[in-house]
Amino acid sequence: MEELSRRKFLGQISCAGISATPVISTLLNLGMTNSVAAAGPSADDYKALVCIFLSGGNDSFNMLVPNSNSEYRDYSETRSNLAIPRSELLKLDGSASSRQFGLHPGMPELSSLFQQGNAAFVANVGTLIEPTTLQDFERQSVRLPQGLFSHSDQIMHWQTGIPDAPSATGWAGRVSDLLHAVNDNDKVSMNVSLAGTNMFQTGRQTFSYEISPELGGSVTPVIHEDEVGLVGRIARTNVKNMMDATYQNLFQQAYADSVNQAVDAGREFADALEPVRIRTEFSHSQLSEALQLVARTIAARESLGMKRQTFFVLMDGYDHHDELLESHSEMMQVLSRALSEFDRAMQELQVHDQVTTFTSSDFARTLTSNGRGSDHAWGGNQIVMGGAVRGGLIYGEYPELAVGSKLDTGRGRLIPTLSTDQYFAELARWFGIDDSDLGEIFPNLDRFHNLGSGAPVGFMKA
Amino acid sequence: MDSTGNPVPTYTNQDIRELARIFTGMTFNPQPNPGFPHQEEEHDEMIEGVEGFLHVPDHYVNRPMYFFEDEHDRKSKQLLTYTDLNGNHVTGQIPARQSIEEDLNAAIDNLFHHPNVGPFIAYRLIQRLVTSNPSPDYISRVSDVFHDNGKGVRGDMRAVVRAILLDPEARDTGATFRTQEEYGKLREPYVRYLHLARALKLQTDSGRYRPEGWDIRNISGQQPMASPSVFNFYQPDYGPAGTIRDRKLVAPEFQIATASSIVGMMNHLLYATSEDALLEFDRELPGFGSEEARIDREHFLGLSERPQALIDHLDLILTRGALSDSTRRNIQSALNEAEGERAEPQEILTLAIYLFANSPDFVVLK
Repeated sequence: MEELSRRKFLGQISCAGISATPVISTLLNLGMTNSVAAAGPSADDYKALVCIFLSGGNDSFNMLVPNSNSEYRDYSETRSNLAIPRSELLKLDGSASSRQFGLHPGMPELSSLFQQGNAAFVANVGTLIEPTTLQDFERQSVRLPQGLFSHSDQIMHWQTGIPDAPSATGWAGRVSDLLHAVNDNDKVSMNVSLAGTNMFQTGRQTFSYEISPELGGSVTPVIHEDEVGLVGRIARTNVKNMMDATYQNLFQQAYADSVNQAVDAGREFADALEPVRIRTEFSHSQLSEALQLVARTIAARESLGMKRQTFFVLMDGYDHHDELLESHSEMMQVLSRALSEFDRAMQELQVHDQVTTFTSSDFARTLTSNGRGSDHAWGGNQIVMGGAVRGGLIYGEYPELAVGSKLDTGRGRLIPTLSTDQYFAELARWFGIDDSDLGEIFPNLDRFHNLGSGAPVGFMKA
Repeated sequence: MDSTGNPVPTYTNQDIRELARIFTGMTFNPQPNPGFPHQEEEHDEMIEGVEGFLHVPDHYVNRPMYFFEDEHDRKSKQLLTYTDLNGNHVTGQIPARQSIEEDLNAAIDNLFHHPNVGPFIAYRLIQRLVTSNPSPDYISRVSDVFHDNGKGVRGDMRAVVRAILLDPEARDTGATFRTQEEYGKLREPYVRYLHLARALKLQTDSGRYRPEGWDIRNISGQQPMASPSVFNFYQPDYGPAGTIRDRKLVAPEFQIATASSIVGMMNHLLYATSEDALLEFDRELPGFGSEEARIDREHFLGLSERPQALIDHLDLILTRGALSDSTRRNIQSALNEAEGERAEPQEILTLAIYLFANSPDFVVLK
């Protein structure tokens, strides 16, 4: 799709009789005919996708650890001083697999969520352009994602879903280009970010609405506050007058309208959240506070007129080149606790089946130790959580962790056995994207998944 | 475009792959910028660390890349084939066994002479500097100058910018263009901010400043050299919903005029104009600390007692002398109200600047 629009653009301005006609998004047209925009969801239809981006590259082979005798031995030998003692691992019973797994000892809450069937893992998922074997990698006989092992590139690919080219849109942005029309609110975007502007939620026609726990939610104009001084108080009336004036110039008029809408949006958002009370207690970590605000926003969905929402939450600090065991352990605890708090809040709000939370991360880390920590790698394990998740299972192929395995490109940088496209498409499909639109949103998906053949991975219920 | 009006692609995936081979063997320059202790530290860590070149700190992007000839793909390459505007056939063949620099220069030449480049650059630059929806003739005039600056030189950017800014479509203050409702552009937050900084004669104790722009980045997502992708902060074909999109016009900068960034900018401007902390500093810079840049109030205070003169002066430096009557009336009435409430001259100045900075007259260039 990206290729298409770039070509369209270049072609367009190469033409002598240029007009400023914008490229009409094929996505939008498709959206009107195929995905839920056409039929319109029923009144109680609500779905949210919550992305928790574990920034820096989560060492996820220490989060989800193989636990059979032989596989643990491989793990332990490969990871050497980074290996978690087997006795400390939390056993994941009932994973319905012949293989046994253990969870990081700092994640008892996630362990319970898994046992209860509310959470699952997706194993060894990563950026790929086409199916790739070790031989393909070494001979470079297939195309590989740009900037492998680099934070900035991989973070971008995990957000755009297009690892073979620079992209101006993210996959949630493209999803929302198709779905935003179902929401009864043209002021507040369906994409809510708790981490500033981001590529993930940038579409061609949609963008993110940013909120933060520090602001207690949305940005509202300081000049509207009661205690503002003389200047602010006089400015309040006159800014409003300027924005209410009629402008002959389209840009001035559009700007004035945008300001009025933005001010209204901030107030509407704040008003919608104000009466929300959630009994579930949240910890005081940044992540828990962010997820608490997500929960409050979801609780206000009806006053906000939202039927589809995406949320972007960032948890930073995973780049454990050193002090891996200590620091990573603390972060796993924070993550586990925050996930369970959020899960409880979704139960309390009775939207447990309607909200799916998933993790993303730049990459996993080298299986071998650099002495104190681990370095940038590739495929890794992710968490999905929610009532619509077929929990208690590990999806995809959990890889062999012995040095020199058939996926090892060196130092335990493992080639992913599941593409991010498959992982994301499963989520997008549940969210309401029609099978026939998936290929537009994930241009490489058809190399991994027969479009229209059902669920790309299978971790979401129907 | 082809005969049915569909855009004709000018390059394929194969072209991209071939061009990518040109860049093999190039990598970032790991040298820290002098005088940045933080970068030196990071550099030492990087050299020591096993990660080596896999870890690329942001600040290395502003230095020329390093060439590693051993890592360069020295086979021949096939770039774009076309006929240039002088009627020369360009084969696009890059011979084998060239150095990285030779390959790079050949690739730049191959792209540079393509007939698409002039209109492409003309359109983008006019959109940035003058108006979002230039006429085909305007683009054509500018791309002609790109091709030939009058002395047979292609790509004279000084001449191109001059042609853009001195074009009748940019200069004509009469009825032809400027009064057209479709003329003009939204200015992006960072550009507006720098306009304020320059027009309000920022002062610092040290006499120097180096804007870091973190506040603006957090609010608007904009900071120099921090575009989230090679596609800039917004897309050139974006048009906001409503009349602009309905008329098939574009207004790219509206893509980042989000609800949160608009109100964030309004709030930040109130803080910046009241507290005078219009720009912060790069705190890494030795000997600068956290110095703030202040509006030169002395320069403007004399005018605060004469609201009419203050408005005229701010109109001159902020809205190009084109303040609309309705905005003028609004600001005038605000200043009268402030005077009625016995506001200090400082407060009147702040109020005037704040209202100007938020006015559609300042935000939109037309």
